[in-house]
Amino acid sequence: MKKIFIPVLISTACFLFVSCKSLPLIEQSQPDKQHPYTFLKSKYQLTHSIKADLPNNNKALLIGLTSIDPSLKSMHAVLMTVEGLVLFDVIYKDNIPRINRAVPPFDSPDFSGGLLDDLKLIFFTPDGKIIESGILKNIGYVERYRSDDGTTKDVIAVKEGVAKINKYDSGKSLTRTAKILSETAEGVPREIELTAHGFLGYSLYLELINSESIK
Amino acid sequence: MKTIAAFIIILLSFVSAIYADDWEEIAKTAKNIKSVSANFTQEKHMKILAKPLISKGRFFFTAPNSLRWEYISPVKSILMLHNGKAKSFMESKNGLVEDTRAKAQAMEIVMQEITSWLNGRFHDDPNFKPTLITGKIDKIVLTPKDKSLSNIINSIELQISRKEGIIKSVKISENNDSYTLLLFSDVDHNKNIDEKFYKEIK
Repeated sequence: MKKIFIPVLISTACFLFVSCKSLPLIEQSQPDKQHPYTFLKSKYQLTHSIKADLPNNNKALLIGLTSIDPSLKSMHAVLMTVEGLVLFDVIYKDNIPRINRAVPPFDSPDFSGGLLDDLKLIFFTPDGKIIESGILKNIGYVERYRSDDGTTKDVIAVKEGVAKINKYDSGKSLTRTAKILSETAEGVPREIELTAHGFLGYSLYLELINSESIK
Repeated sequence: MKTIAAFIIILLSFVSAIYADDWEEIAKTAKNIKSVSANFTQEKHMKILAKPLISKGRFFFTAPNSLRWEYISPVKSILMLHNGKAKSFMESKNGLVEDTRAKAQAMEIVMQEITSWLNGRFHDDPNFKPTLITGKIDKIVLTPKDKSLSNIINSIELQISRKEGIIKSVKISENNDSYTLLLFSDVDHNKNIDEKFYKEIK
């Protein structure tokens, strides 16, 4: 029993240590610098492959379609299998999600809420106001947004890749990280790595298959 | 979906060698099929899509129960069935990795379907009701028997070229807004297919 208990205790301690990253201090305030990252400005339809590393060492390969209107902060998102079977289809407009189709196990409210939050984190300029900007030690220039619900988003220019967006909950614990690893000449995210931190965390690697500018 | 892939392959092997006018003839024809291979282009059509999403791949089938259904682009994915054992591989950041979640139950259903169709028990299929529509363009239309399945797939429609005696396309309709079209090319029958195609990735 002791043999089993000790590794479990160590791994739990490591897990708690890793998963409890909190909001870092901005060391040098630099309010006037240009934005660390430019989110999409016009309407696009994007097709990405999604390689998912899920809890319990499960993996999944999916195709994601996203039609985005950044000015209205609205989107139409579809998840499908490689074979073309639509698993999930949602329209998000005026802050209200309308689910057109959700095949189990993608039919839970937690899933749709989580998916929309992830997409908003990647594609939309954060809600709220910039409360601070400056340099994060050993990382890069950051703009810190605070929204009405108490969440904080750091948009950071990084040396490797294009940008990183960290999301912290109202308790200032890190919940999501989106890394824009590369982008097209038009500024469309080409490779994205999204990590959900904490218990039952997961990571997604999105790679652009096609992008269409929509009039 | 893997069930449907297997289903399509069996149908393809049924109808393609010699055109048949009824189910009995189809079943008889099926018994003459030892192997089939083809390339496919998959078009995903949806109202949301500015243009269809195109995937390409190939498949191999050897009677009685060896199958390889492989996507080559835009992402790589392989399903292999051989001697009752199923393996599934998918593209990851580190190349192709085995999908260990491939559920034994789902694979069992695939194998049951394959066996059932190979034996010509067309109307015994527990999942789909088949209808043969003859005309200028002949069609086999499969409609789900179960409501839970019909919530996912409305119908599967196979278009058959009477002149060439081959299946031209398979249309899988999910609803009025979304369907998948599979177009086949370079179809070969009864050629020797190396067993390793059903056991190894390459």
